[in-house]
Amino acid sequence: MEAIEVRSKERLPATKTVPEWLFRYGAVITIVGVIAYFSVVNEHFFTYSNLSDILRSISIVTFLALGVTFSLVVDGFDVSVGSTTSLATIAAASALVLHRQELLVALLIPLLCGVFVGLLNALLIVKLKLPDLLATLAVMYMVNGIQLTYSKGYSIYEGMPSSVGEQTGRFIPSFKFIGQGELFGVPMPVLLMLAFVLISYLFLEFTTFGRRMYMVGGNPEAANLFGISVSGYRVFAYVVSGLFAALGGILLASRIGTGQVSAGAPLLMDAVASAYIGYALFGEKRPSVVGTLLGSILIGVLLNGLTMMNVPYFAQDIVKGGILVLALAFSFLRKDPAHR
Amino acid sequence: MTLVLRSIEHGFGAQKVLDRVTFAVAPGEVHALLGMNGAGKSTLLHLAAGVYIPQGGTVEIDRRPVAFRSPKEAAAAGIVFLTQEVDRGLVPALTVHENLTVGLLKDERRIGFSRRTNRLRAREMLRRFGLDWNVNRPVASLSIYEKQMLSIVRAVAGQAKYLLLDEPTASFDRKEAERFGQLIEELKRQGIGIVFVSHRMNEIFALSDRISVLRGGKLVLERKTGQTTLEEVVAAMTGGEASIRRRPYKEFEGPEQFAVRGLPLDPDAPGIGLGLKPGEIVVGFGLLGSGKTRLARALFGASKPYRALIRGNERLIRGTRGAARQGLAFVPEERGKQGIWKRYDIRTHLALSFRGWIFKSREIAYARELIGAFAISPAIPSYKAGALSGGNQQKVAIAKWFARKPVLAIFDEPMKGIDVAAKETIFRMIESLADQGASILYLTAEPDDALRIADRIFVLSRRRIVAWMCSDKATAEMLLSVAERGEQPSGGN
Repeated sequence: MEAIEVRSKERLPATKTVPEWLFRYGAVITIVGVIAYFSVVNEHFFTYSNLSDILRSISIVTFLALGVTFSLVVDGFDVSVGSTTSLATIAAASALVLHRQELLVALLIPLLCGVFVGLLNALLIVKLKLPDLLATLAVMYMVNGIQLTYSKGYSIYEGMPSSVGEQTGRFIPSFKFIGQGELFGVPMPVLLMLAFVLISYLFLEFTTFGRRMYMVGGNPEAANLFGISVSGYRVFAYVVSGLFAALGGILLASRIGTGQVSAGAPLLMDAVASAYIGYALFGEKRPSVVGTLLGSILIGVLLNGLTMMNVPYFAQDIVKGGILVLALAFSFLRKDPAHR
Repeated sequence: MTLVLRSIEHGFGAQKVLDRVTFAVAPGEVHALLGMNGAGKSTLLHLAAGVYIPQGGTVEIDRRPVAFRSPKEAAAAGIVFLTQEVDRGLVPALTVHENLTVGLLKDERRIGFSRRTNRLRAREMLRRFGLDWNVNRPVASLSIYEKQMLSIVRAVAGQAKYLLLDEPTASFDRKEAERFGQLIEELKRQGIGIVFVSHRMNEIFALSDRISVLRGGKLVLERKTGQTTLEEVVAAMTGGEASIRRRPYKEFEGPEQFAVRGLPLDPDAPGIGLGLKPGEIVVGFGLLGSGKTRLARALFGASKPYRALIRGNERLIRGTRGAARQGLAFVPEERGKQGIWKRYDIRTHLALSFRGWIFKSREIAYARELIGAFAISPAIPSYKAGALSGGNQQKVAIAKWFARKPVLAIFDEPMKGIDVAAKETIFRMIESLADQGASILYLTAEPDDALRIADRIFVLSRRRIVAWMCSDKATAEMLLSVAERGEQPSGGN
């Protein structure tokens, strides 16, 4: 109560009843609370196999969310990641099934697709100066259309019929290992997710390159007048975003063993939500890799727990939206100390 | 109907900002409030306007205590606070007349209005203050001066009885300041009480009836303007240590390390030619609109690619990144918007040109070194730049270039809104950059600042250089008259 007394005299009345620490750790407390709640109501929730399931289920979304995070860091916003993931899925499946390519090509082609989408986004945003959201929205439609047109709306699977009989290409084991294999009892997608989260984390928080990306996002004008190439960093961020989305697409193709059309679309909203929960985490209003991972875990835990409690999937979105509001509210109700 | 703040006490956290300050303004009076940055002026205004609630003491109107809980309540009692950010409260997309009458229409509870009568009303309101403007212009196209005047006229039309003006004239040129003075006279005649914060001494002595000085949160001087002197006021503000000094005259040897020829600032003007030697501080003096900012931005590569001679080699500077790589540094005019990152801490700013991995301990050590050298306060490397006072923000904005060891550092009006003590520290920062071998180009409209820091001065007018002077022969009057006439004085050099 003491903290409240001190604050009330210098802050506006609207915020005086909530102590500072609650703002800082509100989102973290929410995650811990949700996990604790599910552990209590369902004995199967807090088991190694279930927790491992949760991590595996969020691994692909986390890749997309990392992409969104990179775009948020430079004060942009990439909503084309879902479509890019779909395109990458189709591209990988097509390389394997329709063109009978080896692992390297099956990885490289989707990644190049990701780079291409990133460059297209960057072109629209940096050169044509379109607002980030609108530019990536347009690209989202275009890329989605491209993958639908290429696949003629059909999924690509082993032994699918074609004009020359059945397709003979297969999802080769080495490719499937990426999405279905395990290493030391840990699923590969989880390992890959953790590895890329770690790399992104080190890059953004512990290199001056990453810091300059934050500076570009924090005040583009000041960055420009410090001789930091604002356009360069923004192009880089969108290319990274495209790459992460493509990685997500590769994982998705490998996991389900087919090239599903528009498979990435439903992942977009969860990815955006994860990145924004991460943005709100610690009350910092700053996109961060750790935040994004935690946001993605929160969503995964919720879905898993609610499913276990037999909440129908169509009602789960209501809870997801509620959690997003809660996480953002903690951060946005807090007065920014820099603008006292 | 006097507004009185009686023995006000206030603090943030453990720090006491105001200590039993009593301050009053009567109708028709201009009361100037002076003090260094951090003396508590801004806090006092915020308290009077209901933005903060005082921790001790009372606010009284006409001997009756009032307790404002929000700026809205203060405004209802006739107290209007106009901050330095004049854009606040104006709607940029709407026209002058719409902005002027928005409050009136609200009071009359009108939903629809005729544009024609609205225009007439707005014109009438402006004419009362001798302003003959086109009321159909969108506010976004107005200059800072025009926005400031508009805000004041609107406040008065909305029945404001007391105006709190926080450095309204900081970016005005001479003519604008003159017209602003006439507006103040008119407001006085209408019986409006004005609290006026400014750093421009001549303005304060010309406009105010009373002067109060705050130092370290205490009221140290209160006098009728006629009964005090500039020396007394300055001594009260600084605690008696300020004095105007100049750099000793010195002939710079050796070749120029930065030179540019024929750099055009607009298509009609002849190009600008400049040459600076190592360690030399060259001041570009020019009034508002003379092209100072344009010159600074052009040199830093922010407008067009150009060629410069840097340490004897011809270089093409394509953009700001190229400029920084060639050893140019730039401290822009709009400190908050262009010079710092408000949400990042001091350490991040100072270590901005470090490369490779981030080593926190090394950066903190480096930050502490610079913080100590330039008396940045509070001396905490993790302190957010946006929470610093204006002077300290500027120190950070300059110090962020030190790790680069620049060849040429360009300063565009770096002393805007900065108090005398912080000013001297910043002058020393600039001199220490020069001592490291950097050439300095310092652009300003303040003659005193120009004379304080310059080795050589050129005068800029209508986007061309009209005169060069040695600092030991120049005077403030010379600078002003050359800049205003836009030509070389006859017989002089």
